[in-house]
Amino acid sequence: MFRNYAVTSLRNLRKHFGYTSINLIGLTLGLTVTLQIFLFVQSELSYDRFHKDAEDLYRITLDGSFSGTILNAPISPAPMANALVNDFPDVVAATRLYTFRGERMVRKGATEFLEDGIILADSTFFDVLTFPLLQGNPETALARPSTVVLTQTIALKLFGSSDPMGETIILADSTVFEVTGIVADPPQNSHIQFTILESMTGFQQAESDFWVSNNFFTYLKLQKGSTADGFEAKLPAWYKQYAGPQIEAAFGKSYDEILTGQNYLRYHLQPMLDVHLRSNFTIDNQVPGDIAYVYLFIAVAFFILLLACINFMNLATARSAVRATEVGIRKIVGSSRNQLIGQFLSESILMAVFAMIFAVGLVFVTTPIFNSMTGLNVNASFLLRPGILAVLALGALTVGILAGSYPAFFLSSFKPVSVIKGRSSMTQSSPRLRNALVVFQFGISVALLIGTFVVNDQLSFIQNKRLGFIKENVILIENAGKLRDQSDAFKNSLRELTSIIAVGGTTAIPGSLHGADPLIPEGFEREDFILTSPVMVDYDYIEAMGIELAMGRAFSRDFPSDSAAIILNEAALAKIGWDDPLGKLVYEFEGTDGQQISKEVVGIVRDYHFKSMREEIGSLSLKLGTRPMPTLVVRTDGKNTAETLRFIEQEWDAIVPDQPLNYSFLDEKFDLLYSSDQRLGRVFSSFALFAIVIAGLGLFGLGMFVTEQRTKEIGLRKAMGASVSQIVIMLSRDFTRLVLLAIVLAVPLAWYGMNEWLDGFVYRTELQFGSFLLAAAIALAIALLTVTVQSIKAAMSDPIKALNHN
Amino acid sequence: MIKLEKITKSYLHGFNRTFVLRNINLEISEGEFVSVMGPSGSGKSTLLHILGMLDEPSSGTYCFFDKPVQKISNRKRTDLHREYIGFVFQAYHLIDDLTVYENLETPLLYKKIKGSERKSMVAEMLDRFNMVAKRDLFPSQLSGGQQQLVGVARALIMQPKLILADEPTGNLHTSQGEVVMDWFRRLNKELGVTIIQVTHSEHWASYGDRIIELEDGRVSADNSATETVSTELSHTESS
Repeated sequence: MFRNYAVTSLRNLRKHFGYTSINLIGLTLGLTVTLQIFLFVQSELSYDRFHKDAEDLYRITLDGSFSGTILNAPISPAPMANALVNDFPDVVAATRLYTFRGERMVRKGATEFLEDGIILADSTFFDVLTFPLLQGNPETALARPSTVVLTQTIALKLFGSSDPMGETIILADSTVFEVTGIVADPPQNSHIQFTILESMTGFQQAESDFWVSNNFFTYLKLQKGSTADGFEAKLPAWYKQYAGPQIEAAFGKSYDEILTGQNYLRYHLQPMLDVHLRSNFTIDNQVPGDIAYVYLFIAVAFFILLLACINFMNLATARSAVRATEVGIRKIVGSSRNQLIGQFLSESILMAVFAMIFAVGLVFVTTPIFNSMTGLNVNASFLLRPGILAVLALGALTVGILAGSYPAFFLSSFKPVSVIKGRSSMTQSSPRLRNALVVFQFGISVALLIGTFVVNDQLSFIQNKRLGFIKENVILIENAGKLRDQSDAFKNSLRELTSIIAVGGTTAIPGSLHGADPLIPEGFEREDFILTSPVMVDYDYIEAMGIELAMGRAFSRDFPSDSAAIILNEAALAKIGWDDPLGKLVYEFEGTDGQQISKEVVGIVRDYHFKSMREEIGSLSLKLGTRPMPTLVVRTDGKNTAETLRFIEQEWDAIVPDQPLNYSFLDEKFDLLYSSDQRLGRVFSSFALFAIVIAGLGLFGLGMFVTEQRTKEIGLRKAMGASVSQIVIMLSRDFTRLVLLAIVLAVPLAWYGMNEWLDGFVYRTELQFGSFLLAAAIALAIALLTVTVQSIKAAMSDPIKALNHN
Repeated sequence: MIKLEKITKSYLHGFNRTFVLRNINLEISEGEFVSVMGPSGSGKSTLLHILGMLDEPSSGTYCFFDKPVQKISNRKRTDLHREYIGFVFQAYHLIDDLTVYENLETPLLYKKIKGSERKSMVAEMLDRFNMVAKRDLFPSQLSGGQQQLVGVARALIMQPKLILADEPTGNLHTSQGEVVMDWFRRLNKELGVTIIQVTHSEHWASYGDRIIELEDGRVSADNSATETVSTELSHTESS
């Protein structure tokens, strides 16, 4: 029986090749998007599941607020991990990680390179986390000081085929480390990524007993069955018992006096399986994903697949008259309605299976594009796993049933008598439903188009907004710390070149992580401190960055006292509330014992965006650094960058020949802040493209059908003297109305959604009328184009031929 | 076999009710060859559709093998179709996308007949109708007469007790029509299949044993065919 269905279907599909291709292309595109998103979602949801007892693992996070400055990060104090294990029987094991900012040099003999994946780990690393050791003993591998565990890749890079165990490598210029283990490379779906694990033992900060400074990432393994909630409730009192005395010593007030009102400090347990998708911290040891994007993508996949299924339904029902005779005959020769439903369903399933096969092939082609567009790393070969193939088969079945059920029920309902009598009016599906579906398709497409334009508007708003510094033509040298006491000599040698306008140094360029230090303005109570982000700079930094002064002056070599000077930004000034800040003093804490030192305010800089535009410009303090700066900013005239770089490299090699120059460009670096938004923009636009292509295909098919159906009418009208343009207008009018309706429905929806998204930015563009207009125009243009081409063809045809039709 | 009592069929056109069949009483026994005649719009086809259970009467009762058809569920009615009734149409109504072989096979598939048995049944039909060479052709590749023979063969393959034919020769040349009608006569005489055909033409009607004439939805005459043998002969001579 199935053979009979399949044969009829295949021959029917072949005979109506045009419709078949429209359906097949539409379904294939829809499935391709869906599979691509399936891969993405699968990869995002698989994060950190490979750990043994992953559901019992937690990361400690901190959220706190001091004088209105919010701190929210997965960091914790050095002594916390051990104290937790000792004080709570529920905590089976705990381990800490410490990451360095930036890259460090790795050397073994003549092999040397920069690595940024070096993290410090406690000896309990392998008790809590599941990273299988290929060589070495997990109990002891990181127990001794100056030992490292290498990943397989790094071991190969450093030692080739020889056995690295017990051998030594040199890290950060001078320290010698013994290799005590080889660990498998962390899987791509691990939020903890590393190339070298360095033993925490002997690391001075790790042995600190100070509970007020948070510098470590702490991971816990809880007893099976104990809940994080019950555990979290006990933490505040427990923390106070350790931190209370230390806070009192540092701030001169008791723990309760400081942490009242707006000020608070809380530690939480974040489930390991939430870390990748549900983290939104200012500091993190990962590049997190976003569960909202996972949901958004799933929704988009669903809608695009729905669009493709709608095409199938619309074309199948529109063309029902063609199949009606067959339905009638089959019923007369003994088919039951269920058998006919079965036949039409197997036809749509057959189609879906073909589309699925094409889509899987296409995903292999599109995955590299998707990866480069999104910066993700999904693997298409995942689709070929036996279990997943079964899922795909099930998927094709579902899509086939989804797309085919309505046409199947509709077609199988034909009464054989009406078919035989040729009462074709009874066999036409309601155009109202078909129209509603077209409106739906175009509504979705228009909404996605608007989304694309708004995301791009906001991105260009960010690019063009006055940042308060000039990001163009700045070369960053990011390992300038290597210059040590030669730093000034190097800077001076660069200034020789005419294409270099200024050279400055800093500890933190805009866009990089900024800490927060308390500052007590003159005349303020001790506990009324304000938090500012401290940045150390040299004499030339302000000029080199193009930061503008609002009051006073920049640091200057003419004032030897400037080592005790401070420059604030307007935001900090506004928080303090001084009218005349110049010459006023502010006090900072130094060290852990709460000693205060005073700084004189010599200047106020205009606010510049040292953080992402998602965040408000906070308080900032610039201080003159005495030590060589880790980052140099070199402002050039931008005319011959290659030449300038060559010169910088040459000067660098003259001073530190054994260290490669590590440079980048400020504008590129700054743009990285918005990489996830740019990703969203690109993904959005490609989805919008898919949606509009699928909707366009559907309309093309419907247009083809309607024109075909009205061939006779067109011929008659022409015979009676209608012009080509009159006929084209007549044929296009109905579809134009539908698309206009779709636009009217989609605009408020998109307006609401995109406004919500923009509200995520502190500095945001307004919704542009033009974006909406453009989206509407594109949808209308595509609709008109697809329909008009066919109308013109029909309108131009010979009326005699048309009248002889049937 | 068939018993119609007070069968009426009407449609509502706005406020007017149009009657297609009015108060038809009819009995047809197994083994009869009945021709239904009448001018256009007299209700011939509607009567045939009601007999074939493709259409339902507005009122009256229709008993098929003593069972009232109105009370039979849809599924049972499909079973009755498969079991007892074969149809032949003026426009042949073959499935365009299937070959001759596949068209013949389709009813057997719906009857869930096993593969080997199916093959032999189709082969026998092809053989009987001399169409073995055409088994893999599509309907569009056959002449009208050949298509109608496939139509007859398809109706016959289910070994029905009743064949309903709606102007089976209407689209055919006379010589092609003869072939089809000869087949009907043979089926009726040799296998005892009951045949009810609708036709405009007295010539084709004369193949039957009984002629029922409809006029304006009513039976206007119901004659045994013996009286018309002479006209039949004269027709044959003239053609």
